[in-house]
Amino acid sequence: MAEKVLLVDDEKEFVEGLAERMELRGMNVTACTNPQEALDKVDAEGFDAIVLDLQMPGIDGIEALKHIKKARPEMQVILLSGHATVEKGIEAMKLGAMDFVEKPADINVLTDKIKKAQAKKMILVEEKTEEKVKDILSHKGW
Amino acid sequence: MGATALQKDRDGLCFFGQISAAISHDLKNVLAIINEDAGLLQDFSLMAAQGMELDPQRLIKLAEKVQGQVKRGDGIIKNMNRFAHSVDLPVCDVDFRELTELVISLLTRMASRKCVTVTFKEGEQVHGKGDPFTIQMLMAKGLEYAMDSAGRDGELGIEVSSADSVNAVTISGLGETLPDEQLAELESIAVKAGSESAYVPQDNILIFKF
Repeated sequence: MAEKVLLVDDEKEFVEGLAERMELRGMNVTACTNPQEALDKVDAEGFDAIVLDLQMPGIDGIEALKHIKKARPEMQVILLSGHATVEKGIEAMKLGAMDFVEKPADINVLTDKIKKAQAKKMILVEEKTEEKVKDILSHKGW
Repeated sequence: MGATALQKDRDGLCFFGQISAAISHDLKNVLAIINEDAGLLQDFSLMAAQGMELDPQRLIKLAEKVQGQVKRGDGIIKNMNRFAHSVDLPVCDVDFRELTELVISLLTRMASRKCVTVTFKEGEQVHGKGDPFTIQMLMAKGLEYAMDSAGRDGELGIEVSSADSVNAVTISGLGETLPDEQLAELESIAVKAGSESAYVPQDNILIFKF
């Protein structure tokens, strides 16, 4: 199944180039240069992975990460940054980011991480569904 | 070396570091775009090797994008070089317009992050003597605090002027009142830069006189 990816970065040319390369690799990519618009998309749709720039106009990547994990905890976030400081990386991982990739990104490394993100999300969704089923069974007393 | 001198060195180093970090971030973005464009060329070549037809217009567009990014990178490095050489002489002839323009360019990413528009107003060349590095530090700190004061979607104007042997850099369009500690910091840098800073909250302006 094609991985559904949301790619968020304020550098338009970067987003266009990377999105095209990801699509050539069979992914279904939604590209976004406006962070607020991206958060609206997260609220409205489901994605297997969100590739998110750490520094964007108006909203810090860490703040965006907090929003995503609060609204859709099953979504897997891969942070992208030109400045991959250890402190930021640790903070992001503590907040639930799946991984951290430094720019310029290696497409093979990124693709691998997106595939892992999809697998991880599927496990989380399955666990959630199982819990729901167990809950229904215990309450209905079947 | 006394504690005050050490602190002065550290303040300058912090400013140098802050600007260098912003430049490295911009350069990383340029490299990231070139990397994706090169990657696309590689992908297209592999597809062509498998018999897929290549669109020459697509290749021309990719080449133009790479050239555009090389030009952008060159501009960033030229600014970096001008900034790096500003520490060469403690006192020299200063072109205040040129220096202000450089500071605005160096803080472009910060302005974008804070969602503030900075407009440099047209005017005549203004020359004087001073320490270019410390003057840049004063203008950059002033502009940073002015951005915070203007807030999201704020619009700042910068004007360089000269009258009665006094050169002035005026930042207009501030919003919220500048806190006392920020004003004290600006005053302290202004003293080192041989300048005077004045904040006029009723007019929402910040002035540096040289």
